[in-house]
Amino acid sequence: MEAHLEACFQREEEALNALVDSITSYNPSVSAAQDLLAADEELGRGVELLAAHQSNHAHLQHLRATAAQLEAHLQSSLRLVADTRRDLLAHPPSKPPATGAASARAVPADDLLAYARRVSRYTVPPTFRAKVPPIPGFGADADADKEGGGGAGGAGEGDEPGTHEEEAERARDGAGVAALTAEQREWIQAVNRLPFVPWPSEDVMARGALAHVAQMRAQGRDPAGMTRPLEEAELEARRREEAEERERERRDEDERRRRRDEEEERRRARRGSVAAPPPRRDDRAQAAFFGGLDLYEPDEG
Amino acid sequence: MASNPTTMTTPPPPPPQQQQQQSAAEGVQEDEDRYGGYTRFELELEFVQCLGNPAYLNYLAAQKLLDKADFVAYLDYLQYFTQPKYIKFITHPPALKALELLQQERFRKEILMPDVMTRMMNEGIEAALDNQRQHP
Repeated sequence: MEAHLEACFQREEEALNALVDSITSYNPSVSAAQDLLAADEELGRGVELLAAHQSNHAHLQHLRATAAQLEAHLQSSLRLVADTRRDLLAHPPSKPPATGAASARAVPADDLLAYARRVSRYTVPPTFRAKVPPIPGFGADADADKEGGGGAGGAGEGDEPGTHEEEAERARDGAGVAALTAEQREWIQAVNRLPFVPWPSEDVMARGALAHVAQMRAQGRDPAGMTRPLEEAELEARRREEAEERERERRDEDERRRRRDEEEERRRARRGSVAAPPPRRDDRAQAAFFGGLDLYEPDEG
Repeated sequence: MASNPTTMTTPPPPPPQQQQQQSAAEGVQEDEDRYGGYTRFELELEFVQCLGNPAYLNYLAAQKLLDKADFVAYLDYLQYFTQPKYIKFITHPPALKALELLQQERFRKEILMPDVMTRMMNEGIEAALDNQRQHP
């Protein structure tokens, strides 16, 4: 690098000397001036090259420093891992306390998971953010109709979602929520803002088994007489309804087929044709086809 | 539920074995008596959990149910829910605390007062939210 620049400088100097000589000897030569210009340009290029060279050099040094630093970091991490492993192996494994109390509190994993699933429905939702203010004094008017219904102490509804709180909520919600439309998000937030109480509230109790039994007693039905389980009784009722409906449909079907046959007879009688009646097979197939379409029964309306 | 014909000598009902819904779908065991279509265990479990609502306790006190010896004996009998094999069906833990408090006569008298009920409700909600804040 330096040699190259030296050569440039040399050329420049020689060209300059030649020019000066030619001028002092009252014989200015244009070629000498041109040589000087060329040498000057050459020098300029050399200087630029020098600048690039310097910057590359600096960059290389910086990279070398980074590499050294990372190397040191890696070595220290490896050393730390090795030390930790040595410590871990050095500690003897400890035995859990085998006392009676500990074994009594052992819970099978399946039970625990089933319980978690059950309880999650009644736990404070993680997205629950509304601050419920303390419930003010209430006016007692107990619902004396239902035994299962409680008093009128519902949880107070308190939510003041300030705009900045809503924004904070949105920032906390994940990407999945962001993909919903504004309407769906509003609905979810409305559901979250419902007051949460850690016990069954009055409306929950009103939907429960006790309230149902109380209703039955109020209607005069005898609950003790029902030995079948609730769901089975409902299923029974539904099955009976379906059977009745099917029966009704079949009756309508027969009615329609009969009327169609009569129409055919009448038409044939009007035309006066004595053609043999079409085979029963076609008629039944036709009836099966048309029976499914309610639109083709003008007389049924 | 004051008309429930249970005395203290009756043993607690057996808890359901596996998933209750599954057995109900397959076809129930008819050896259990049902009241209004519900088993005794279901009804007692529901009642115990409703006790977690202080407003309901206040209502019971207002109906003078908490003064009846039969009812108090029933509440004492309901304490079988604190045993491990029954407790796993409780989904509202405040109910158990309420059951414990109901064993004391002083509490049974005091829950009639509205501000005691309000305080209990506030503390219950606060405790639930605190729990959530500590264990998110």
